[in-house]
Amino acid sequence: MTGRSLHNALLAVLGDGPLRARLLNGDNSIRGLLGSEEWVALLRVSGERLCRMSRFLARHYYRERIVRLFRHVRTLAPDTGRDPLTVLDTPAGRVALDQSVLGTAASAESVLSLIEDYLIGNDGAIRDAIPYWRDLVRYQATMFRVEAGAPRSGGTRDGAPCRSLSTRILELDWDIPEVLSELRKGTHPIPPANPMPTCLLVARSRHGRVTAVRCLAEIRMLVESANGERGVEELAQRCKLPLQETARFLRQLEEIGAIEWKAER
Amino acid sequence: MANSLSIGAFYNPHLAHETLAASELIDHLAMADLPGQHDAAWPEIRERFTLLLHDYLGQLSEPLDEEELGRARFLLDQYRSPWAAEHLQRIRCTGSPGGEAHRPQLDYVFPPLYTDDLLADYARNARLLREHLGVPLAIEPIPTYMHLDVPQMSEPEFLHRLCEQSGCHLLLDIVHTWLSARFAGRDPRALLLELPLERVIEIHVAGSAPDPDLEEPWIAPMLPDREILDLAELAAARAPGLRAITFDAFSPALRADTLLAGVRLIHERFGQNR
Repeated sequence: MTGRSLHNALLAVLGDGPLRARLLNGDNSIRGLLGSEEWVALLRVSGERLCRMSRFLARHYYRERIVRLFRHVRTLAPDTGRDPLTVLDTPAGRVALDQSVLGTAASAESVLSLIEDYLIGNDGAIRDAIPYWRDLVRYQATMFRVEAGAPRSGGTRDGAPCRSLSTRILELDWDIPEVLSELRKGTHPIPPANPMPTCLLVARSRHGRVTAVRCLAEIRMLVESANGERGVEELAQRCKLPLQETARFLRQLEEIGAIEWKAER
Repeated sequence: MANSLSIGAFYNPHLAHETLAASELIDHLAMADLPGQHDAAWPEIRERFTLLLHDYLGQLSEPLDEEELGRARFLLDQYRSPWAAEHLQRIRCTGSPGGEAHRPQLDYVFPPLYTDDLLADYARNARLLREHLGVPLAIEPIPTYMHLDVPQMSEPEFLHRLCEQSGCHLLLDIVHTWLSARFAGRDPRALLLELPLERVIEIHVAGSAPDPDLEEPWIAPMLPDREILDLAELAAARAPGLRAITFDAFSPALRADTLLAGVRLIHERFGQNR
């Protein structure tokens, strides 16, 4: 056993609720996973302290994401009375933290489902004051979901373009980008908005940055047609776009992470 | 940055206007995140203040890859920072028996174990990063809340050896030291005096608050109390290479009055009233 191997095992149990529960129950079938000596060393750690530290780390993990990815919903919290951060302090929130596996889409989804229920449950009065409220919540929830989504599989430009697994197309009834622009200015407590069908493409780059951009019909078709089987020429024909423009769109989509390249056709 | 002691704070983008208005009070800003594209104040902030690179550059228990090195260089150039800082932390597994399926990343500071093998890795990788950047690299230790019953060095011994072997400096967060002492059942002054204070280039000062998860205090974006300021003064008196003291409050919830009061407290304590 080395310091590195023991620390790896410690990080694994700190960030993985089910694994931690098995360790604390003395389940020796996880010896292979953690290392036998590492398992023994971790059994000597105070279980109470291990659980406290794990919840502390999980809370920081999801709090940081809620602050960043639900920031516009939080800006309106003085008007709505609903700050998604408070979800982490509820009994259900604490269970979600304790059972989470940090970095997984499934655990993010558990936290997100609590947030969505909290924000849109009995929200009639909020929607009277902020008619685009649910679209705003959907937008922020999609950002959260996309960031937590499946990692990119990689590939090279030699292959065929393929829609990334985490990419989402979001159809809204309100012009949410316009609302966000007003919220950033901070000039209106509750920015006004007009109903307008709006389509957004939400994607995560290789570096984990989540981007939402307006999605025109031809871009939507391009993204939805990119299945890793069709080449650039075929996509151009299918989407009725000039070849050069198709290649340019694909490069831009790749940059924001909406498209990746499958190595083999 | 002039050779005199610089006193500053973290850059909190939501307080950009108040920060600019207080530029007579604030010498430098520590940068935890690269400002976003919507931060209209950033060009003026960049022009007005000395900026100190304090972003996450990489986990120094492993060699930084080309991309991480490139990003570190980019940030250093953006900020024109006289030194860079990185936490002495380990937040993701590498080469673990569980493989990819069990590699959670904590995304929050967490200390390594103070073992010989990790010391060698940290020293090598910190030296490589320092040489790549061509400016001093200050390492900031993190308090150890969970003690493992395995042979380890003490935190001071690890830091002495790390600084010596890597040529790095120390970024001393006074609340971290206070917490380390508390968790180890030691007197904070005694622990502080065992650290390689001659390597300290920057000091962070902030407050602490009870944490409901840990059921212990933890660092908080609040004003430091007298004990923390006393410890900071003790460290500063024995740190001949000290160049900056930073009010370590970085939070979207931070209020302008707290930010400015924190900087004023440091000015008052270190005899540089403005």
